[in-house]
Amino acid sequence: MNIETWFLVIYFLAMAGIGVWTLKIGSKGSEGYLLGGRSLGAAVTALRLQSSSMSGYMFLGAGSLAYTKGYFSLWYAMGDIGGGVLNLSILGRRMRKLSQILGSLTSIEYLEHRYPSKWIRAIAAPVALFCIFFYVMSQFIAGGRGLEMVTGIPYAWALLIAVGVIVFYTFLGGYLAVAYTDFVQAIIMLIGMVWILIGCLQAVGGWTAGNETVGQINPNLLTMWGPDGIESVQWGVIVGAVLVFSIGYMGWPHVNVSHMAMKRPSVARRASLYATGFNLLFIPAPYIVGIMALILLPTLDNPELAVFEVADTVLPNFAVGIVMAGIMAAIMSTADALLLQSGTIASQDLFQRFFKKDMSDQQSVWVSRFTVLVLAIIGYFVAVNDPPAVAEVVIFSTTVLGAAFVPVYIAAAWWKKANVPGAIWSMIAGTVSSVVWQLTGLVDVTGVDPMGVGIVCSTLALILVSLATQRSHPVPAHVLEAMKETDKIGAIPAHMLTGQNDSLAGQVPKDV
Amino acid sequence: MFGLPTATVVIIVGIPAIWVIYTLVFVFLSRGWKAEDMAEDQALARTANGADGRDGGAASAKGNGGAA
Repeated sequence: MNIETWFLVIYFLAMAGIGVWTLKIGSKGSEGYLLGGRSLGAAVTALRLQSSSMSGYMFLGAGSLAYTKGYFSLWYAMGDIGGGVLNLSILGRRMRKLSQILGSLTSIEYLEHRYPSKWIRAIAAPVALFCIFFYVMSQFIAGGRGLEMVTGIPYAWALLIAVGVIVFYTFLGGYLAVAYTDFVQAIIMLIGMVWILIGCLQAVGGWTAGNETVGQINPNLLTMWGPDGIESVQWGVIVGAVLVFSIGYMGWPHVNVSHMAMKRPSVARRASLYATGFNLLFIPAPYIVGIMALILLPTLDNPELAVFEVADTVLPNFAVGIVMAGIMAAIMSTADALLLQSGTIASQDLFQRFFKKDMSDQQSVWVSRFTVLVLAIIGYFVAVNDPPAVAEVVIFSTTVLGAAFVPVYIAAAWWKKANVPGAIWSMIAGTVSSVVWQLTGLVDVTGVDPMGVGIVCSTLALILVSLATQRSHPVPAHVLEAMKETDKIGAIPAHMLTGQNDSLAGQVPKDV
Repeated sequence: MFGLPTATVVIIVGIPAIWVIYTLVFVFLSRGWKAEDMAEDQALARTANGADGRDGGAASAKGNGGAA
């Protein structure tokens, strides 16, 4: 076994160890398994939020985009850098407080509690599950390809190992295992990526020299307008690129659940500092490495492997092992969050809500675990037989998630007139418009990104339908009261902490 | 600068700078959130001392809605 493989083995064992360590807490009913007992501080919240939203895209998709489009690709980074702070500042405190008042354990359940109708969950859960499945599959593919490259193990076996490790620790410890492994993985990702960047810039003679050489290949690669110059620029695509990873975050259920697991609502404040700091250091790096790969690896067959290949080319063997662990960290930290979220949706938002209402917490945890296992198996077989491009799948699924859910999550916390029909039509309009725009090729015809179209459609639907149906479907008084309480800075009165969850309500000090 | 066109430098430095400023402004404007923590601590202390939470018993520090 080479030294890179040893590093990966140690890394996998460490992640599995965290899963075992958190097993005790993770098994204590739904809240322990799904929200880690709402016990997470600022650093874990921020880095979990960031690492779970970065994904294998940063090491495959970002490098590929940069390799083919030059500095134009950095538009995605420009939005991404602010995604964490936007999410924490707009949703963080309010979603944490409101979800606690309403007694919500999952980010989809939160939507149903805020917009009380079973149709909210009946629409939101399948849309989220569908997108998350594709997203998680792309992470499996990225993990398998990375492991194959480092170890030389055939892709099918590499994929099986990557999926096995992720499922193992998600299966064991639930949210707490995912949160702590994500925290550790964010640090490993950062070290790995910065190391590749430094090695890469040294190899090309520095950033300035590297840019000058890239400019000799095609001067347009140094501009923000793409390889064909400003005449061919599609402004709609640029706006969409910035939107996907800045505003788009606020529509991702697997990311938003981070707010609900915070120790206190105020954690969002300090977490924003960690998030922006992490993003500034981490996000631009894979794009710059991808651009410099044009010099180091000018005849690369598969641009998705640009970052992997650069690491393998410019770093010493022992460093490649650490860097590869960082790359696997990015992939695994997103995959575990997605898997847990899909298990949660299946157990809490579909099975318990619509089929077996008297399910115990323990049964719910096992349904979630079973779903994780089933999805992992299906994802494995799809990924091993006909793997699609990682970047395409990630951008498609995150675009649909963002278009469907951003307005309903923001309005849930901020707009007291947002009601059930508005939320239902917003989710439908966002999903349908973004999918149709993408699948019918309207992006190329119009030059407008599906994310932009989807967000505009879902926002308009939410506002217009909510206003038109205020009389027939008023927002319930208990929701308005909860939102008023969320506006205030102060402790939640005890009498408001009587959510639908019995285990929560049972612990509430009675306000007689 | 850095071998890049001026517009590229302005965009890749300027937009992250805007996010940094946004973060700092958010942290400054939300400085009052500490009061929420103190209110929770006081409510918890009251609960621990046997008070019945009549005046606004709070969520526990663990956030699971009750006396720790």
